[in-house]
Amino acid sequence: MNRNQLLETLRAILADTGADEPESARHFSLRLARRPAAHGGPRGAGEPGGARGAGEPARARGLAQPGLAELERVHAREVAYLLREAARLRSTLDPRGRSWRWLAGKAGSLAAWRRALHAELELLALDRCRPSCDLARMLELCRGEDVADWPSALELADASLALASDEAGRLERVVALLAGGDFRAAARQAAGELDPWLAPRREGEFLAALAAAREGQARFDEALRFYELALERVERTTGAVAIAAHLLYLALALGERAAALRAADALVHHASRGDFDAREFERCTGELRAATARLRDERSFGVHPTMERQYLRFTAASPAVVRRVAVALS
Amino acid sequence: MPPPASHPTPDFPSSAALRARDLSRDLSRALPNSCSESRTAPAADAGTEPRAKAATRTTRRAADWRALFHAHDSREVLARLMHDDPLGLRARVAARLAERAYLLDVDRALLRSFARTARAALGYRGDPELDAWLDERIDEAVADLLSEDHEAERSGAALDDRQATVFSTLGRPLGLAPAELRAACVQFNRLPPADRRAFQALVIQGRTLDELAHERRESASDAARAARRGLEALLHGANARQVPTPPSRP
Repeated sequence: MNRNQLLETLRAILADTGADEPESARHFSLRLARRPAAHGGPRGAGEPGGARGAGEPARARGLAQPGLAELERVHAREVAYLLREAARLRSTLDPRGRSWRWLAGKAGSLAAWRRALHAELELLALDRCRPSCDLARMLELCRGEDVADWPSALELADASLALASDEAGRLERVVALLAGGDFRAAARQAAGELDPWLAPRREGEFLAALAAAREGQARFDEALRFYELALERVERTTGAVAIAAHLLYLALALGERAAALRAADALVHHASRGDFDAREFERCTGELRAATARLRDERSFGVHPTMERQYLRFTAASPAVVRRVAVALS
Repeated sequence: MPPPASHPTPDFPSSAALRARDLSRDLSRALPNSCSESRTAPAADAGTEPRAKAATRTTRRAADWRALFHAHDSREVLARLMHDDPLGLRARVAARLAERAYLLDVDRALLRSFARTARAALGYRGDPELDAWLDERIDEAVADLLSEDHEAERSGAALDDRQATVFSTLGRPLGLAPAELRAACVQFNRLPPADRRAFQALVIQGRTLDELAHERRESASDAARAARRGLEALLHGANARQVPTPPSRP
């Protein structure tokens, strides 16, 4: 796919609005009370009873105002981060969500997340930082024991973005859309993220998400090209292993020899590195297996028996096997 | 890490080369204000303070953090930190930005570092050591601001009054509008650290290419290439935001 074709494809994806997503009427925000607290407000800065004693200049109180706005932003970013992590945890519950997790990293531990949420809620209360009604309701639901009762991963990702928008949050939203089977919206969002300000690694992640979305829409040729572009961007990072694995499988299935060789080369490169992580490799082969299942079961995508055998050998999770596959292909 | 493949490397026709040279010269005058210690760190923190006195102060600071962080809430800690900067965060932030070679307004980074430190203070129990813990808070603050600047550029958000003043002051000698300078800084700050440091050493600190190459243990041409990538990122960012100047009224 040359540059012009790529731009054409991206334009088509962005123009493919379909049924517009409904605008959320909910409001997610945090507001720090400006008035002093019952215990006397920020003590110590020029106020009697403060730990640093009375007599400190009164200008300290004025100075705190821009600081309070910053504190409010910091709290909002922390809650946004927790909601993004909650979206990850929530999507891990769902088999479809699990199969796309490789795009935006694994979810952390639920216990650790609960502790972090508890600590943040305590801090919010102490600082008299009040969440909006919708946010308070969402946080309350997330305190529940059963993750299945939480809001959906997409709702959590949206709330996170409303509080503090960033690339990681938007990538999480793409994953949530993929998990929900809304491939068109996922493709549109991922394509819309490809701006000149992106760092190469992040660009690779969004390209891989775009490829996954096109795969979901059964646009396999485009998916293959986007995986190739994604691999170019992240070639030297560990994220390349998962992308190369998906590219290898798709290329084998489509009979795209050059792309298959490129993917195998990338896998061999990573497998031969000193810091090669066997567990990471095993995880990726698991994802390859899931990709096969998706292609075969969900869309009756035919896989050539010889390729299937090669693929199964590859999934033995051994770098030596990958090398043999690469040799066989070349 | 190489620059993004999607960003075409600009050719340097004569006008661009001229602009690059002017930018380098002007940056060396203007940017120390934003990323080195010279403006932000008081003389005492910048190395003129006798070592023994500094050590005593550090020890006292370490002993005092318990009293400083003993508070009802983060707001209380924040007020104390902002009152007279008892932990010496200003110098620390300036040093950290210089070390990482970021082009970021120190005052803004300081304010966010105060807030980050205040928020985390109630849970701090002395582990890791105070210095390392404070550096973590500063790194969080810097990461916040880099992300917020990127989002602002992406959405085309206008600069707030404070930022407009800062960027206007820094941008005037470079012939850049405040929005162009912000775009240039965002682009620069996304470069790999090695490229940012090379640019900072050569252009802002005015060190020689040979010194830099020796320190980095690489050829002079590699060091120069890294610095040039820094310059290209700045120009690329500024050009991306450039808007035609409206005709002046008769």
